[in-house]
Amino acid sequence: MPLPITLTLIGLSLALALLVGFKKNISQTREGKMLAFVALLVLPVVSVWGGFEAHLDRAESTQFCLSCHVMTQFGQSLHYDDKSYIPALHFENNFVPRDHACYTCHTDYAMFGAVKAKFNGLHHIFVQYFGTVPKPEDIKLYKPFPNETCLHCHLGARKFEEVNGHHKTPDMLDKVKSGKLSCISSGCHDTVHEIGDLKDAKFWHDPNGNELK
Amino acid sequence: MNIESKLRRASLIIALGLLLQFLSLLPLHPLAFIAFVGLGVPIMGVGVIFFLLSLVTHSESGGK
Ligand code: HEC
Ligand code: HEC
Ligand code: HEC
Repeated sequence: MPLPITLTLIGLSLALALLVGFKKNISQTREGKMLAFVALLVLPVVSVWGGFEAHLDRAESTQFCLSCHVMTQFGQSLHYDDKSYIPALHFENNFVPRDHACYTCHTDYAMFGAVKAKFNGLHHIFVQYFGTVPKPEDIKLYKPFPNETCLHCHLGARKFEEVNGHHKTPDMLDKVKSGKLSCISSGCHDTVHEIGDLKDAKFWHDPNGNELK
Repeated sequence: MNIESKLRRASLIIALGLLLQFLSLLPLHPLAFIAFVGLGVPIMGVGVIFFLLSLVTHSESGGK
């Protein structure tokens, strides 16, 4: 459900609940009882469902990830003017959708992975408000970055399967596919956010102004 | 408490919960979701339970 519709729905339930609350003798008529039933049970339940969905949807947006200050440098790292930085390469070329950039690479493509990713997110919120917030440069992944995420898009693609770099040894591609050799191991695609580089980096500026704030 | 005031109590609590849910969807803030599940939904839930209880007690006494 698009956000304006969800908001309208919640607003409507709110108005009806108030109407039932302030109307006299509502329980005397059949219509009144039906109105009360819709306003105090049906609409609230539908509204919660819509609101919940809207919140989950929004939690996947790049803007949401960057609404916490500790994350902002990772956002800046999508703007390097250098395509050896994997996230910048993907963001600037729309290989990941810009408005869901972080989530596309940081969700879990296994079964129930999206739910796991949401729980991880709740943990970030917990750390943010009740724990000690680490310095951005001290943030580590909870688990090593899974090849599955890269393979989710690249597996089977001709370039991925054929490129010389993936055939340095005969079994290299098999090791990558089975997860024994990480895509981001050193010497391979090991240049990722590298927020330590931000200070002296050159940035690409989108002529269309489509940039993260 | 008569049924009218029970209904009024339930509707006002539900309205408060819905208002909080509405507000939680306006800003893009990390705590908005927490406000939604931690305040808006439970408060509204309490109101809905009051409403359901008022139905039960009403039909019990309505028979006499
Ligand atoms: C409430 C503020 C906040 C928001 C919003 C937030 N983060 Fe974080 N993030 C943190 C904090 C704080 C940590 C450090 C957690 C720790 O040290 O345990 C962190 C750590 C991380 C990590 C490393 C730990 C891990 O999960 O493996 C990743 C990746 C990450 N965030 C990605 C994201 C993405 C993607 C989003 C948006 C979907 C996001 N964050 C939204 C505050 C936030
Ligand atoms: C193209 C995929 C991609 C995109 C897009 C992406 N990341 Fe990452 N991110 C990675 C990879 C791969 C790593 C693992 C780096 C490592 O382990 O050395 C990582 C690591 C991280 C870490 C852990 C700290 C670190 O540098 O190892 C955080 C925090 C993080 N990303 C946040 C974000 C946020 C916030 C966004 C959006 C603004 C984002 N990422 C977008 C691929 C991506
Ligand atoms: C959401 C899908 C998606 C994800 C996830 C993703 N990529 Fe990509 N990537 C693409 C697309 C699309 C291209 C452009 C087509 C191409 O060059 O294969 C691309 C291009 C690349 C290229 C450039 C290839 C060239 O032309 O030289 C590299 C390197 C790369 N990705 C590495 C990675 C790594 C490493 C990961 C995991 C951290 C990853 N990608 C995750 C979609 C994705």
